[in-house]
Order: sequence, then structure tokens, then C-alpha cells
Amino acid sequence: MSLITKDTFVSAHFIDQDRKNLEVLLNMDHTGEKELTPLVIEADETQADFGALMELTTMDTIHEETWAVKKAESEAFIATAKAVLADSGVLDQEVQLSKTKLFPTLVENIFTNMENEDHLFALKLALFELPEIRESDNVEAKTALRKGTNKIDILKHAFEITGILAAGGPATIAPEVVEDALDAQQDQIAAESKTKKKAAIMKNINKSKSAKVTSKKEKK
Amino acid sequence: MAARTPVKIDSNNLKEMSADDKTAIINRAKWLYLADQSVTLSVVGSSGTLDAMSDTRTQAGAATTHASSFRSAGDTPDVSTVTVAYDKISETETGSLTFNDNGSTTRMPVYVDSSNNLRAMTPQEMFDTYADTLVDAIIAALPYQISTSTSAPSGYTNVSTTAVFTDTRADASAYTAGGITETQDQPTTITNYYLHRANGSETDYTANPCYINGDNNIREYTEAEFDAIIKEMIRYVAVNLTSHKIRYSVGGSGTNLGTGMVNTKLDGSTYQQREVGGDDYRTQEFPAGSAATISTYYLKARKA
Repeated sequence: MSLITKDTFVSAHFIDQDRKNLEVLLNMDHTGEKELTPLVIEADETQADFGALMELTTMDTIHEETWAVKKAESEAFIATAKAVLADSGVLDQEVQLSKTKLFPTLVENIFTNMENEDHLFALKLALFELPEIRESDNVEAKTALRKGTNKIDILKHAFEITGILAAGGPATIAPEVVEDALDAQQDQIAAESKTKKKAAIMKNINKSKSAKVTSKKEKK
Repeated sequence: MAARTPVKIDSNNLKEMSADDKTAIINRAKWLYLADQSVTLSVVGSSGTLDAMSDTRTQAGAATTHASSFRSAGDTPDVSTVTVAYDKISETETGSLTFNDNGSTTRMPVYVDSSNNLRAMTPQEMFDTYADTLVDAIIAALPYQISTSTSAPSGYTNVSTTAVFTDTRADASAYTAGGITETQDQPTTITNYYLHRANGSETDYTANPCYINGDNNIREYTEAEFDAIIKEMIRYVAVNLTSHKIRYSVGGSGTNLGTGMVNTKLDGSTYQQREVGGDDYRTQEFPAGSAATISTYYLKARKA
């Protein structure tokens, strides 16, 4: 008899990229409430444990829980990485990055490495952060998004879920607002470039000043 | 040869056993076998007969040191993989088992043949009647199980408190830049896996089969008499009967016995520097990242 019953079953998630093995958490008699027993099973319909699991949950729910577990692991890792970066001072430089650099980075990341598994995972994770996607009832599109194997497909499904494709495009922002934002961004770029030029001029002036002082000293 | 339907005594009449009666025989025989298995698993120190399992983990690369500058990440040795083999499960088949009529053509249960005569089953007819269903039932009952606790699940007895597999990973928190040169291999145990044997649960026959005694009369077996026959049969079958032997393996085909044993490993690395006293620039790469599943091993039982 399977250990997976309605009395013991707590949750289940995939533990590998290939989605062949699952970890099922069980609340057994001999464990405390917060000490669940992990049972790793094959996602194989011929195995009794998998059959017992499928009577208690659905594949969609398992996928949702897998995302939740991966997200928690990812957040824990990011927190550790941030702590290391903060110690080394690198994080401050990252925070100072101008917002204008966001979009080139975004575009580059979307249109390159189309099938990179790490990228796909991060993209899916970010999309499932959106309440419109996470809480959508469009199960079919959510499943397709989850199974997407390249970035464009994944984004297409995300747009479908959020209704952007169905509505004929993102018309929620007024054109004049977009225009103003672009103007402001252009001003910011111009200001940044002016500051850089000024700094370069000042650097040259300082250089020539110090050169003059040196030549005066040499003359003396 | 073919499966037969033994007769029973019902209100002083001879009657063929029902499907429920056969199920009751299977269930009791399953308990008799589980309580005294002829194909057993044990935990050994090394060189078990089942396939070995590998636990892998990352370890830090060797540290570099230079008098005037830090070696680059490219010039610092990479993290590497440590592999530990777990070969601790052994299968033993009990030798010298037999199952025959002990020189008597009337030892086995009787059935009604096509001419409406009562006839004792042959050993082969016993196999044909019970072996297949019984072996399936024993395997489905999971004669052994792997779990993550030395405390056996309900209905099982722990075979050994020595783990048959241990998943380890590099202890990322043990490596610090300030500690360079760090010891390369600093593992931490994630999960231990243990072997447990099923006890089975006792059930009763709903009716006892009958046999022909020395006076050529029909007699009903006592429970103990039929226990001895069916237990002798299944213990023999599990070891010897082609296509009905019970065999265990790590991986391959068959029914999974308990939890899978997961080998995980940190999937990344980090490059660190340390300056000691102005003229000793040290670098080393440490294990880092998230836990990735490398492989999952299942203990399996199959009919062979």
C-alpha cells in the first residue's frame, strides 16, 4: 500500500529538469508537524505511488508547487549572493546603473540565447510573479507558457494570458504620456553625456595644468 | 498444465473454492512469505551484490599564491567533483529449497477434474494456480522499503542503522575568502537513506482446502498443514521458478520500493581573493550556487 494517502499527503514538486522524479512531502505518524517525511517517486503511471499521488492532486498543481519551491530556492540564493556582493561593494555600483541602460539589456536578453535553460527559467519565474498570470484561469495558456522552449513563445503566451494580444495591443498608456516619457529619457541621456563631456574637459584641463607646472619646474 | 480450483468442505458438502477463498489464500501466503523471506536484502560494508550508487559533490579548486598580484579566475584551478560509491546492498537467495509431493501423489490439495473425479494437484499445478498472483501480490506489498529515517515505517523493521546511500553536498558556508587556503573538500550530509524489511500482516483463510489421506478419504487441511505447503511453495518459487523469481536491483525495471535516493550537487562556483601581509596574493574557487539533482536511484523489485 502506498504511503501517499489523503491523511499523509502535504505537497509534491518535481526535483529535476527532466520532470521525471517528484518529491512528495508526507506528514507521517512518526514525524512532528514541522518535520515532514520526503518521499521521492517516479513520475511513471506504472508505479503505484504515482497513481496514489494523482488521485490526490493534479499535474498543474504540481507544476505550480514546483515553481513556488524553485522561486524560494532562487530567492534564498539571491539573498546569499546579494550579501556577498554587498560585502564587496559591487552592489552599490549596480544600484547606480542608469535606468536608460535597462532597455538595451532587456532587449539583448530577449533576442539572444533564445533556448538557454537558465534564461527560460528566469523569464518564466518573472512572468509568474505577475498577478495577472499567476492568478489567471487560462490553464491552457499557463501550461503552454510553463512548457515554452524559447523566449518568444513564452512571451506570446504571457501576452495571451494578460489579454494584450486579444485586445489588439497594449493600449493602456496614452500616446502623449509615452512621448513625454521618451522626451524625458532623451533629456536624461543628453544630461548624462553633458556631464561626461564636462568631466572629460575638466580632466584634460587638470592634465594640461599639471603639465604646465611640471614644465615650469623643469625650466627652473 | 493449468490453474485448478481446489475444493473445500461447505456444510458437509464438497464445493469448489470461490474467488474470495483464493484471495484469502494469497493474502495469508503473502504474510507467510514476508515473515520468512527466501530472497533477502542486507546492508554490507562494501561490495554489495546490487549495483553501486554514486554520491557526487563539488569541492574547492586548489588555491593559488603569488608575491605581487592576484591570479585571475581563469588562472585559478576550477572546482572539481568528488565521487563516493555506495555499494552496500546485498541480495541473498536461500539455497537448497525444494517443492515436491514428497513421494506422495496425494500431498497437494484436491480439485474436480473434467471427468468429475477428485484428483490431487501436482506441484506444477500448484505453481500454475498460485505462483503468478502470489509473486505479484508480494512485490506490490513492497517486501523492502528505502526511507530517510532509521525509524521504520509502520509494518516494517529496520534492517540496519547504516545508511545504504548518503547524499552530500559541499558546505558552501564553510568556505570563506579569509580562510584561503581553504581545505578543498568540505562536505555536509544532506540526507541518509536506510533499508527496512516488511513484516506483513497476518490474515486467515476463509476456507481450508482438502486433501486425500492415507485411507483415500477426503480430509480438510488444518491451517498449519496448509501453511506449511503454501509457504514451502512460495519460498521455492521466489528463488527458483523461472519467470516468477523475486529479484531486487538498483535502477532498471520493476516496482519502486520506497523513496528514491537523490544525488544532489551545488551547480556553481565563486572566485575569491585574499591578500596576506602585502606580498602574498591568494586566490581560490569555492563551490556555490543552488542544489541540482544529478541522479535519482530507486531500489526495485521485479519478477524474473
